[in-house]
Amino acid sequence: MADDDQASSPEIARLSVELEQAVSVLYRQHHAFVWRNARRLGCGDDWVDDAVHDIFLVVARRWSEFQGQSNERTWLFAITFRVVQRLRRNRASQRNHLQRYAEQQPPSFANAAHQHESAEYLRYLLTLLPAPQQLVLILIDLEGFTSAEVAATLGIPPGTVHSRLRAARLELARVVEHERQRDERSDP
Amino acid sequence: MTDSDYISRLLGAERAEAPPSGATEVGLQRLLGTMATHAAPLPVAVGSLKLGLAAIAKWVGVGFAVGTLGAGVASYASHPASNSSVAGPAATVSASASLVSAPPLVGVIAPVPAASASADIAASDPKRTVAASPAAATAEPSAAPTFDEELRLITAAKRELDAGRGHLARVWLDEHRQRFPRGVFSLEREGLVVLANCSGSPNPSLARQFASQHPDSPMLNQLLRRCRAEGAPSGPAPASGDFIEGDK
Repeated sequence: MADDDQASSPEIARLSVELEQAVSVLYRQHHAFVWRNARRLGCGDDWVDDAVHDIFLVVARRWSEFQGQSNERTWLFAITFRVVQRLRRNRASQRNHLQRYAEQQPPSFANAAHQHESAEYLRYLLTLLPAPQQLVLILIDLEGFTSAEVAATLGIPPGTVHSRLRAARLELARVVEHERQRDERSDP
Repeated sequence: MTDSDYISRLLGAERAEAPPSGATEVGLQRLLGTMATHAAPLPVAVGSLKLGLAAIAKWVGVGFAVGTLGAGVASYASHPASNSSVAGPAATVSASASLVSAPPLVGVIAPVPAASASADIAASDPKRTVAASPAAATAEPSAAPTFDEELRLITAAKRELDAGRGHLARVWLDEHRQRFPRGVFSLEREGLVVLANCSGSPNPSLARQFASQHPDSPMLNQLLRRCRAEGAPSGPAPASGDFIEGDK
């Protein structure tokens, strides 16, 4: 057994170093991608860093399963989606708790005059879309994936991707119009 | 501007969003640190023999703990006056009851008080030893999540405090107080409460009160400074510096 231990320790150390290197490369390459999409999927500025941390922990745990069968980014996006969903569920009760103290209003149409505010407003609008449309819009209109890549990632036919994208764009336009009218009503 | 143009502008703005500079390296160091301390999957691959030996060692440890507890009960039975427990029976029973009845996701009780509550029950009433054991058994696996959860709440409070949102920090601290009244971070919580209360307007009396109650707290220097209280604590100065700044 002692021989087994001696034989396995360098092997474990080697695997650990390899994993660390692989995760470091992935992290540097895709940190911004994961950070952006975690926010689009509903992460607040105050917890997006924790979410990204959790996402890459899952990546490290699952790295041996990846083996390059799919695009790294779509794989990361799928993990991002699941982790953010779980974190949002976990935070639901705390959010209710915090809402009593929240002073800030949701971003409004009228305030989206500057770039940062516009981006924030768009992320707010994304949360108003149904999840299937939201995902397709993020992947294609914001990240530039092809419909074939999105179809493979979501496990749906390419035709469905196109119809969801069309529906998502229409829904976004409808939501913008609705928000504009709401702002006009609330601001006499 | 048409709606279509407007949406295009919103999409363009969102595409241009990027993490703050330096966030990648900071996040990577944090990740590598976590991975180094949680190298869980690799030892599993070593083989069944090693796991078997680990299990034997664990059971020897459990046997030792049970024996020690039994000796304590026997000692109490023969010398009840020598028991130095300060917690009253009512308090220990309620702590144990909350451990048993609490739902798994919400009912997280700090490990140290839970263990001492069970020990107190066993010591004060040997008939309850059997009833208390399942509670102790359920408490043991939840110790790490409890710690993590406490740490998460304290970290969230600290983050709000660092961002100058004392009112939100107090929300997290209130939640910590409700869920972990005697948690391992209760002292840090009390210090942060004082800092949160000083964040709007400095209140030296709060800092002085904290200093008199916790003269050895590593948070003391920062707390006195932030609350603009004069004078140092009467006890020896902490060597490890500020808890808050050390955590950054």
